Amino acid sequence: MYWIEHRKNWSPFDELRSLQREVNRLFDGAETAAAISRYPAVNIWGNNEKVVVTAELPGVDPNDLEINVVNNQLTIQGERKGDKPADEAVCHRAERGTGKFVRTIRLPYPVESDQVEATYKQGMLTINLPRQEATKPQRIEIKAA
Amino acid sequence: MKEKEKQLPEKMREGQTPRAEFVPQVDIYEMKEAILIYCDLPGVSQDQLEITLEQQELTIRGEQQMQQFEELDNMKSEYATGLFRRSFKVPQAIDDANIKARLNNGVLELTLAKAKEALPKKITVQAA
Repeated sequence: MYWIEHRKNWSPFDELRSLQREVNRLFDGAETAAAISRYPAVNIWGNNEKVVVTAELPGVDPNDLEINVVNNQLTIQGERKGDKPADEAVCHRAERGTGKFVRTIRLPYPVESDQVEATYKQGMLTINLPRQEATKPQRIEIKAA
Repeated sequence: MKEKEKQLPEKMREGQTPRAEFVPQVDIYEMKEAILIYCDLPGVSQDQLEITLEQQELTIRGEQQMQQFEELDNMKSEYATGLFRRSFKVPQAIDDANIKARLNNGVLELTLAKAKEALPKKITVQAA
């Protein structure tokens, strides 16, 4: 943290700006701030051969989901529509968000985009991504001289 | 407001104690003859879910199981799974025998039909 002594031309706006910077810095990378902008929430599993991404996506029509893979970038996008039963229904509580979403996830290595498989069951999206053959680690034999 | 207060400490705890209870998100709609509740329950199967109505208190509870992958390491965890519970006071008289529950794409849809006594009655004004 830097304190710059500039008492000569003090301005309340400078103070506000520095406060804003401080607050931004506090939230930058903090879990709370990140969680808001990250929908859907994903869990990632993997080893040297493949990666599995699971996402919580309740109430999404699988036809409204679009999954794209380019090298090591996975993009999940779609729309969650509201389920208001009828126009005359009175809403008492609306906690479940609706709308369009896009999320791009960087994978640890490039994957075979034509072998990616995605399943949607009970509101859970599971994506299977096998690693690109060419990027798999190669064992190098040491020849005796 | 009361719900909010309940939610907060649970959210804070969920990272540390895996047995903390989650509070699933709901939408509640009221229609003329019924109350509709939608509840987000991704990855919860029918047999891991319990719905009870006791003295006008409706409770949804159960457990969401974590998907397991053999031979794979966990690289990133943005969501946790475990027990969940949510209760509501249902103010109107509900026809106990007429509660419908349906799980569809990870969303629980509860239809609570209002009891006959609770249905609105139209009163006609008689001309003198």
